[in-house]
Amino acid sequence: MKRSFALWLSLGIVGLAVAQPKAEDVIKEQCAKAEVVAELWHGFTGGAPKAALENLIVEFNRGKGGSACVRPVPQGSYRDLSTKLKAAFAANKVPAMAQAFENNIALYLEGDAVLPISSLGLDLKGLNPLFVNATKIKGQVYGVPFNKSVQIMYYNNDLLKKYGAKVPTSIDEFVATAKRLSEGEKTPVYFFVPDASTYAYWFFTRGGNYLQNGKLVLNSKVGVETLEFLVKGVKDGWAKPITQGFINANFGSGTFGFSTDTSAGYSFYKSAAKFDLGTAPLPGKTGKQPGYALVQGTNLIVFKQADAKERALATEFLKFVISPKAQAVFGVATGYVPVHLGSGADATVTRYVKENPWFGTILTQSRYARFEPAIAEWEQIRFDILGQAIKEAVLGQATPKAALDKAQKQVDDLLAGRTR
Amino acid sequence: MRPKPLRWRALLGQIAVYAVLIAGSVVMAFPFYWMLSTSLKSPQEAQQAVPVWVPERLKPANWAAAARLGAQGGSRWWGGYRAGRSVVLRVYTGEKGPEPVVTIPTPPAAFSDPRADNTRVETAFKDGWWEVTLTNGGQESFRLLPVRMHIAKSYREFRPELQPDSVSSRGEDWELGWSNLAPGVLGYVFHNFREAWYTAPFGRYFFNSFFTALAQVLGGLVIAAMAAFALARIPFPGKEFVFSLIIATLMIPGEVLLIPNYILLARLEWLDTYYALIVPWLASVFGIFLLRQFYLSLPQDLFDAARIDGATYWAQLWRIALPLSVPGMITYGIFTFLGAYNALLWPLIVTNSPEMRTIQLGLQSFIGEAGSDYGGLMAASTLSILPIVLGYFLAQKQFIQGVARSGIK
Repeated sequence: MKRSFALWLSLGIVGLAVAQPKAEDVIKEQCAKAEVVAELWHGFTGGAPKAALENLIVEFNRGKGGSACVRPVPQGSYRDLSTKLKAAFAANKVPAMAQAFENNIALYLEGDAVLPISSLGLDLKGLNPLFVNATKIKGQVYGVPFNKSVQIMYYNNDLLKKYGAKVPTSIDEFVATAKRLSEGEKTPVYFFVPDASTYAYWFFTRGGNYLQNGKLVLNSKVGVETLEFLVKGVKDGWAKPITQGFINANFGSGTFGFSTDTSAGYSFYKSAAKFDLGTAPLPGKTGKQPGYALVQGTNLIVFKQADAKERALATEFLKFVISPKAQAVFGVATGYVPVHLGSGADATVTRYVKENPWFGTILTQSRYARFEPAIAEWEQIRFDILGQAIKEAVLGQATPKAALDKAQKQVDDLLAGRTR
Repeated sequence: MRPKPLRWRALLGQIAVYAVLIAGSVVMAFPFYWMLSTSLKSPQEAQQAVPVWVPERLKPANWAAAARLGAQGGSRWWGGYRAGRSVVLRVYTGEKGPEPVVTIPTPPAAFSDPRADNTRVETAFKDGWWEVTLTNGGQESFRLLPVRMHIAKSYREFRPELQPDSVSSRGEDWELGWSNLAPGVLGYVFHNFREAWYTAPFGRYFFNSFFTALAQVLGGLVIAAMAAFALARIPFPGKEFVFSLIIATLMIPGEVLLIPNYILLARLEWLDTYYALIVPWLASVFGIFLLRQFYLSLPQDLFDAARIDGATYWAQLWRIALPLSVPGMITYGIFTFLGAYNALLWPLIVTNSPEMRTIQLGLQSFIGEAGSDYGGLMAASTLSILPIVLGYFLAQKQFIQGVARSGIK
């Protein structure tokens, strides 16, 4: 066994000999003699987003000619990243830049650790105002929107053709089509993960709002109706909750017709689908305009601890990152929405959209999108409280009303400091 | 002579026992089989909810084609797409219908793609098949030749020489995808392993994991053996109190210590060094407790006899207690090694640079927020548990010998 392993290994090494330099190694070389190094802590574990970010950084560093460089440091998942940053604050070892959700920014601001973007002299003109405003806290913008995804509708074009159905544009059409297809196939065709993200689309599109007069309300009338709607979909046999893994790893578990899922998953959908995968903007309240997608993804922030040279370098880097060209390349590679409105006109994007209509869908959808509340406790609320309530209701462990009432109580206790 | 029915009953009993054992071992072995087979699957196969039991890459029929195409692009074993070479793929259709359209997909986020830009694609119909020729007209050689082909659904049947990694419907066409059209035999079967190896510096990760785990085991053994001996065999005032203090620290969950330990290491300037990975784990309460119980179970007479012969405490530890507690030390070693090798959160928190990261962090490279590369993940997992599985078999033997050697039943 040992010998065959050694043989395998040596063959492996021969195979590795024909290698291209990796972005990671290029960056290392670029940073080797740099006088100023600005670290960027990020939560991309791998795949296209990490590769795309590294490629952007290689391109930026190249322009610096070795005198200064940005160094990306992967810190695990987003949750790991925020844990690590908390430890870093305590130890006074903060990087120059990091990725942060809106609620992370709110949390870091409690420790007065983040620089307002205006102090960097960075011009945010041309960026999607929806994204920029989301990082505004008490009138100041604290983050530069970076990797933003929106939900879009994925559908099975072969199945729609089989029933001569049109792509639905309103909720009513969507339900009618999903019902018809499900009856024909004798299995639910709308796949959804019972979590806060899926819920958010239906909730926002039906006119819901989490904040009412500055108070966080989970058990509003629209909220309960939204959850009842999903529960009824499961009962009526057109909606199928996916509780294990990603939707894109569950196509074979039934007949996939539709999902309302993040644009960042496109490449995984495409690699898994044997059917003709289509994308379209989310069905709206009426057919006149698309529904409201939940915006997810992070912003780049600059920490106060960075010294003047690092700040200057970070500013230059952010300016590069949000340029239409960089956003176009990054968006096309990852399925994230270009945050610069000018990216839609960049040749990279127009050429790409012609061959890849899904990217056009994302650009359209990004104009109809909403954010979750930017409060420090939101991460905990969305996973452990709201997400839990949605799951319980969908799986029939509680009625929608009871589940959301319980969630509201938990949120009130949490925000009042009675629980942690 | 025994009555016959009894023998039958015994036989049935045996069969039942074996059936249960076999069922149990199948259940135990299944995840391993799943890991191994997924490590050889294409992304489309790996993402199917309906299990694919035998991946295409394990079917010998595909190997010949993989070798032939690999030889055209580079080598028969590991393939490649060298400068100046042409790779010729046949697609058997029988009839001449619409011409298939062949493209080379661009890797994500590349500002330019010399592979796609410098490739010349020619398609021609020969007797009964389409012949697609891809020529690398540039100066650069490449490891992989990803290819995408659109072929009309109007063909009654079509059979590419090399089975594609993915087949999906695209309007009036089928879209066939190959992650590498010139793979060579090994490059075909072990595609995920090779790509996983490129994704992250796994050689360095392996070294770091082994080095930190071994250092923790050896350092931990020295400390635990001395502390346990003192607590078990040396009388001193307040011994019970000291022991209960040590045991009490077991009650503090590790997560609580995370941030204080991090701050301590930051002040020592030890972040992102081997010290941070090793030193905080050297003193193990579990190890002290385990070895103390072991030493307590040794007969007092042995130590009395040694003392009469003039042995110091050091000699008693070194020449009596240690040789007799080999099984205990091995148990401690295995647990510590596995704990250190499998650690995720601590190495993630205290390291920053790829040079200091460990194998478990490398596995994260395959998991994304919206999907996972299961093939790559399982290939890397297979590589990462291989030494542990081998080590387990070796240690199991040691374990049993250790018990026999100590003479304690």
